[in-house]
Amino acid sequence: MIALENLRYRWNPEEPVVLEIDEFSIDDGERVFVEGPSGCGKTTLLNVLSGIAAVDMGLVTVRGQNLTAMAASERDAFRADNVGVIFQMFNLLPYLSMIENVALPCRFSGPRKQRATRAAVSIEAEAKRLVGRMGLSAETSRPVSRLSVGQQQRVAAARALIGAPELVVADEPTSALDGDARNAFIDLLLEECRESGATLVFVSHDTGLANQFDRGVSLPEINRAL
Amino acid sequence: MMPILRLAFASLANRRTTALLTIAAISLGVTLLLGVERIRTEAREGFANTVSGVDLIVGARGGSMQLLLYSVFRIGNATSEMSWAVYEKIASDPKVAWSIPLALGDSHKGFRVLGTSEDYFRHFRHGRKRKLKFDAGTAFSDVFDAVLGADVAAKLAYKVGDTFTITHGIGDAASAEHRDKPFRVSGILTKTGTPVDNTIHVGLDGIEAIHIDWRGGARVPGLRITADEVRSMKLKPSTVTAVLIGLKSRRAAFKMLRQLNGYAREPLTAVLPGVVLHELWRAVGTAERLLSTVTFFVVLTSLLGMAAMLLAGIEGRRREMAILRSVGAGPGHVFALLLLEAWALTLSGILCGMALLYAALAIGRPIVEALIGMHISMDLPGHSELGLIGLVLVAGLLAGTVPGLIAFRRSLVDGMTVRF
Repeated sequence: MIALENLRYRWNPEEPVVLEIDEFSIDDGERVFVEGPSGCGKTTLLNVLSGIAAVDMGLVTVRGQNLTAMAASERDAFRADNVGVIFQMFNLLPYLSMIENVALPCRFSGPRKQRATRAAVSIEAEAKRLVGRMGLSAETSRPVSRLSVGQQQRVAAARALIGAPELVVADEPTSALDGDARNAFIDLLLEECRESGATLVFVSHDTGLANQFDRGVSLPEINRAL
Repeated sequence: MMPILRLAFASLANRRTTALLTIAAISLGVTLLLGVERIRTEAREGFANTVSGVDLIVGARGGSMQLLLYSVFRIGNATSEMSWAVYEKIASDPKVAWSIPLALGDSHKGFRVLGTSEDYFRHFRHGRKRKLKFDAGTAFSDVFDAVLGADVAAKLAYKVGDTFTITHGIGDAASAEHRDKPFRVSGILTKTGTPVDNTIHVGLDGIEAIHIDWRGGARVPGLRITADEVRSMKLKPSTVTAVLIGLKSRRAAFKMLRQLNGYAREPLTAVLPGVVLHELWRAVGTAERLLSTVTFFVVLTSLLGMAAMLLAGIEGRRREMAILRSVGAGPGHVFALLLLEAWALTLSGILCGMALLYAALAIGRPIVEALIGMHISMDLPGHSELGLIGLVLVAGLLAGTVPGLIAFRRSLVDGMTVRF
């Protein structure tokens, strides 16, 4: 379970609080759509959940682990072990192959490496399996920068899912995709999260996507800093 | 650390043009640094071995540096001479294995003429105990035979069989020509890279022969002895300028040194050539130290270039850093990535530089040897060179620290989101 209590966040002490949430929780395996216009703190929320941003005040618990009590390096390790991240675009390192990009989280996390090798004979095999599940040919030797945006986002989704992290956070991952590609991508992502039991927090300003998720949340309604 | 190493190489390969240019700059600096170090070592060694195998140099009483300069480097003059009788006495000392008498004071077109004996070609050594070799001809077989150093023959375009006359005196003090008694070139020596190359060697009897009708630097009026007449005379020199001595046992050197410096019958000065050569090198070796300092700065400049390249790259790589942070890398990983890139560039630069050095040595060695007689070794890097390589590696890591720290701070601020 993910729980936020009396959360306050600001970029630095001179600036105003941008995120203030009294109480918000997500069940394990729940796939939540967080909606709101740009500037309402969606990205900040994801930064808090993935342990990049340190909150000034309040409690952030993910699967029973208290992120607010952790040092920066512990939060980095926590993210490596437990969180998969998908950005809006430019998710991939241009100098690595598609499979190497997908395998990247296993290079920084022992637990994810273990889980990946338990699921398949090797990290590479698991990466190929996930890429295949996302509807891409694992054999493609094209540089990742030559993939279409839709393909790049699916590689990013495979990377977020490798090693079965507890939590997958996605920051407007479909905003660069057109209608059909968008729906196909979301279907695949939801399906794979269900398969691995990962909790999904998907933020977007596009309210039309909400009905595909277990629950929809409007961030402006719970963020009292606005 | 392994994933970071892999990322560092992949990332550098992705920016291969700038990376290769940086490696080229570093490797040129390293080649220069190690090349200068090697030539410097060889020059110092070559200098120290201008005379090798000579245990003592003896001359009339005077300064030890002066003795070394005129007897070995043909610079300056002896203020006085030592008598032939004393020379014979020293040469017959049981501790002495061989001795080479030297008689200086005449010249030919600016080149010093050195009167000596056949023993010179037998015992004189230079560099790493290398003997004098003849490019053409042989040693003296006649009173008026001369053996030319390589540079003398080259600059004056003399060949074996050519004749020339010797001038009395040296440089500005040169006065009359010994016109009546011309010398014939009997042999030309191979280039040595030592003052031997600039010397005209003649027999002591030849020196004696051209001065037989001279007294006190001028021709004796009315006395005229022809070259043919002189050949039939018994020519015994009355003085020599200096003597090079080889001992049977080097352990006797200090005893012999004391014995000669305290010689009762005539005031003498004896020196250990190695000691005085070392003193002289300390005086003239400043340029060499300056050169190696300059080359070290060349390497530092190339490393600063590398730091600038990495630094300039950071701005364009913020996306890359953000992705790395998202998959669990900490700012420490980002710092390590930059440091490893610096290290990989420096190491590649060093390896390429060394390859370049040995390639240059393989090609340039025979040319340098023929041109200036310096023998440069192809040996593997020695202690001092390994020390320099280590120093470059450390400097490279330090140069990588600055961009590393900046990337560290940047990734701390940016996190997973790049804000512009």
